Amino acid sequence: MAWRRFFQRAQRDDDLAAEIDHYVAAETDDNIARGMSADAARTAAVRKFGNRAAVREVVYGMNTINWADVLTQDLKYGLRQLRLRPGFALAAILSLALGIGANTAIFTLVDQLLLRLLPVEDPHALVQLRLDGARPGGNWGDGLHTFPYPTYLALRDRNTVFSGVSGQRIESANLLDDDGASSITVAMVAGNYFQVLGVRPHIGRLLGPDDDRNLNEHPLAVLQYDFWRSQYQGRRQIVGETIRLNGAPFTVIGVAAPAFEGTSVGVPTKVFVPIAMQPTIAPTSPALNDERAAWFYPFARLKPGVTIAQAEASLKVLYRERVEEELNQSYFSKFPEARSSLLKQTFSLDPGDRGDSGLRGRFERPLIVLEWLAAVVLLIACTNIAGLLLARGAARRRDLAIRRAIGAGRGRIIGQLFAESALVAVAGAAAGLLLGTWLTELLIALLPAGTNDISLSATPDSRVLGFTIAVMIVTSLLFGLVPAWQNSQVGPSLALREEAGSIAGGRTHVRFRKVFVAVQVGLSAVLLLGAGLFIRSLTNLQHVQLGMRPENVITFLAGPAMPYDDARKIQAYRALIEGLAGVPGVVAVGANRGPLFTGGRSDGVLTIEGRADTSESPFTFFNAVTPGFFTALGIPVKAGADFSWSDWGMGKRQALVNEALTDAYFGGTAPLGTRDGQGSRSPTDIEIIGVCGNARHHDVRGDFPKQTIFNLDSVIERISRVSVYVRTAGDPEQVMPSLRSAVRQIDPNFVVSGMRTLNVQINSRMANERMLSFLATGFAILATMLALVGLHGVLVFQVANRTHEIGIRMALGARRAVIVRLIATEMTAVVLAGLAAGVATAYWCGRYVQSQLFGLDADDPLVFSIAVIALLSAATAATILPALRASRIDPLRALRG
Amino acid sequence: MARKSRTDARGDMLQGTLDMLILRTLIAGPAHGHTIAHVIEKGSDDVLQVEHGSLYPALHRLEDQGLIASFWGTSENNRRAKYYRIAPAGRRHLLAERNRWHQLVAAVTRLIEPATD
Repeated sequence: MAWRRFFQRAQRDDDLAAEIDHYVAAETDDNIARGMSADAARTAAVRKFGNRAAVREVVYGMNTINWADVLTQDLKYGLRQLRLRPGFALAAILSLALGIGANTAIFTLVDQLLLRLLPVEDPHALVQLRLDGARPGGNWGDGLHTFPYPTYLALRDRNTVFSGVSGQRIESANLLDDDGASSITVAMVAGNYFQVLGVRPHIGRLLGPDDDRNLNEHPLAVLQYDFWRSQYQGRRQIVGETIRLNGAPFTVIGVAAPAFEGTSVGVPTKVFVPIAMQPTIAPTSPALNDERAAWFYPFARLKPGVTIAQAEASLKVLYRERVEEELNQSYFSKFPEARSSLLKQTFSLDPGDRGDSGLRGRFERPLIVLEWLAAVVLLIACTNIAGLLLARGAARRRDLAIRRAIGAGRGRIIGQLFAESALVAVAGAAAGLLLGTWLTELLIALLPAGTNDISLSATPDSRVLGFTIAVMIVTSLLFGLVPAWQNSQVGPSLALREEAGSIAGGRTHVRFRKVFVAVQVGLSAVLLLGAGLFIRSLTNLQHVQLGMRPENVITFLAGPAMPYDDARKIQAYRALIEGLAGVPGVVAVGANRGPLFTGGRSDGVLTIEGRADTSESPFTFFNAVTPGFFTALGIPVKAGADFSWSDWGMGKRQALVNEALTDAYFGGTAPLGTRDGQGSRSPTDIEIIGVCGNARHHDVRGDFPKQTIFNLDSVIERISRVSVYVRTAGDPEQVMPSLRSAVRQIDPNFVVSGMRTLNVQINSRMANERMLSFLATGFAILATMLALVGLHGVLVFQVANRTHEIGIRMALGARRAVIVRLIATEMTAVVLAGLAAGVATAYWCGRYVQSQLFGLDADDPLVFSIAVIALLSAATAATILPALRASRIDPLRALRG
Repeated sequence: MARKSRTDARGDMLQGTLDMLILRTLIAGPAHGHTIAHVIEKGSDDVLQVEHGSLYPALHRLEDQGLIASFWGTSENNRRAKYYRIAPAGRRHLLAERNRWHQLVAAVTRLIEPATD
């Protein structure tokens, strides 16, 4: 057994030595017996045995595995070298850890959001349906992969290219159990959902097409595996029991296979129910038969042998047919605007192997940008270490030359030098993994907390580990091989020459290091420019006029855990808002249909009384609010009146329009008293009672929306919970606890969720910008520091190398300024070259980040000038210090030394 | 580092012969390296000289092949010595090698005889 012998090789060598000793002793005895003197006998015995070392070598060679032995030797040698210079080791490992950590962290998120496949049968055959272009009607979702439910049905039934078409939509619903009510993520799925995906039950059975026939008549639930384990302790008897969702009983029929968390990546589903149960789970969502509301996420499985392109071509035709049918309906005959936008839509298919994810849609671009930035940081770290290793090697040239002189091959020298790099890489990767885990947690914290719980893990799994190891191997080759190759270029004769290290060896290695410094400066410039762009973008966003005063406002969702009838809702919501107004520290309270600044919106047209020409009908965003909403948010009412509690529940249909709408459709004069209707065919039974100031509701970007805001009680049948806004006199955080208890006191059935300040909610709309600017700045600072360390290192080395020369110059009368210039100009060219390359690269890369910028162009001159000036001044500082030191060289000492 | 080629250069036949002679020596009973060398040299009337550069690697190899076994004992002069004894597999190997050797000698003899006429 070779390995056993390998580990016993030292012991066996000792044995052999003892054996040889015995031979010599025995032979000596024989010789003495033959009459030799003791000394002569021993000499003769030793001579007879011959070359002891050679015999031991031969036997040792039989026991060892050559490469393994060489490897351990090299590693031991490398370790010793690192221990000799702990400063170098620390600097190298730290810079590598930072580089690898940044990459690991970004990869952890990239992997979970962008790369991981759904744990279903043959995920590659799954496709998502996608629609680009304006969508007349409401949209609830990512605005690309959502479709009206009737459109889904039509495509499902008519296509010939899919073996199955299914779909789902996640909503949060109230789960009522012994511990009280909690808000959980529920997926409303088409009946064939599990069949099309190929997911099997863990216990019980899953939903089938027969469980999705009649609206609201299939109260069945399938539990997600982890949720079943944690919430129901993995009880198998749960099958057949009843759980209460939004107050209604659902029978549990089974648990889905482990690892399957639904098809919305990052927002794990807890319970799956048939889409037919939509009126119970999402009572306020558009009805299933609404042809204009896009909210359902369809997906499909390709038939075997059908490519995505073939399926897309076939589906495009089908979708076009479907659109033609819709255009014949009266809605579009009245609104040419909506008609032409419908015709401009483009239908396509996206791969569905990784599920649908609103998170992916939002973070794909920023994450890819960040992955590139992190890679650049790592590259800089690598060049830095390579520079350090080159310098180390140059200092060790004599040592290396001696090794060559006594017979070490070039390969062996490279191996020894490389082993050191490998050790640095391993240590750096280990530290980087730890750092990466920590950084990932930070990143996840930066992602916006939506109404649904995002579940991303910061714990590195085998894939992250594999990635880190791959990065480690690549980086160690990157920064280890060039210096090892370069430093091994020493002839044995060099060992015999005086001062072999400093002058003869210095020049080539400095040339390499200069290239490294130029590369580092260039890459730092790219990162600094990127950081500058993202910071300005964020600042622009933060200074957007919102049209309201969001500071000191608390917001949360509140609604009864069980269905209330309309009369009770009218009474309960008024009690809630008036009750909260009485809480100490509260200044004003109001509520609206859905949370502001979370992207959800509804839009449509208004029919204005007395206007025959429908093409002039206002296209507007809708909202519905309670009295107190405008006061609580600080939105001014410019003309007419606010909603009042005295009209609440009186069956009145009223509206305020904002200034943008007034300007666009009423020539700027307040249309007070005008009657209109929501939608194209509605009776004009709504009275405009006031005009409010422009305010942003669903997003911070874009122009002010043209808005029509109804009184909430006029749409009370579509309200299951409201978004409450509470303005406080002082610190909102201190009022939050008393708000919760106040809600419980006012109505014990009410569930409160997602309580936070409005500013936090607004900031979550800027999550991308914050994440990008925060990380890009961090990366840029890191990169610049690394580059400066590299620059400084080369200069210090140069000064040390030229001490003699500088001494002569000074002795001959050179002034200090001349010496400073002598040292500084050498690097100026390097820095400028790097900078120019970096700026050019950044300019060229600009188009890839343009979509992530708000309110500025990717070639923003201000950002470019600031970044260039910052980098130049930092580089000057790093240059001037060693140059000054050089000018203080004592000529006498330099010449003697 | 050791280079294998130094031992291999002697050729398989010679190496195999040394192995056979070692095994044959150990038939008489356990012995240490010095005795083995001595027995081979004296037994051949000093025609065969055992090179120690080959003897110890050969012992090592035979032990690894399981043909001989070793143990530490005390020699006639009261020294600690490594003794070798033949293993059952070694006896079988010796028998096979001896047959092969006879065939080889007979073959070589047949080839050489006419030339001596």
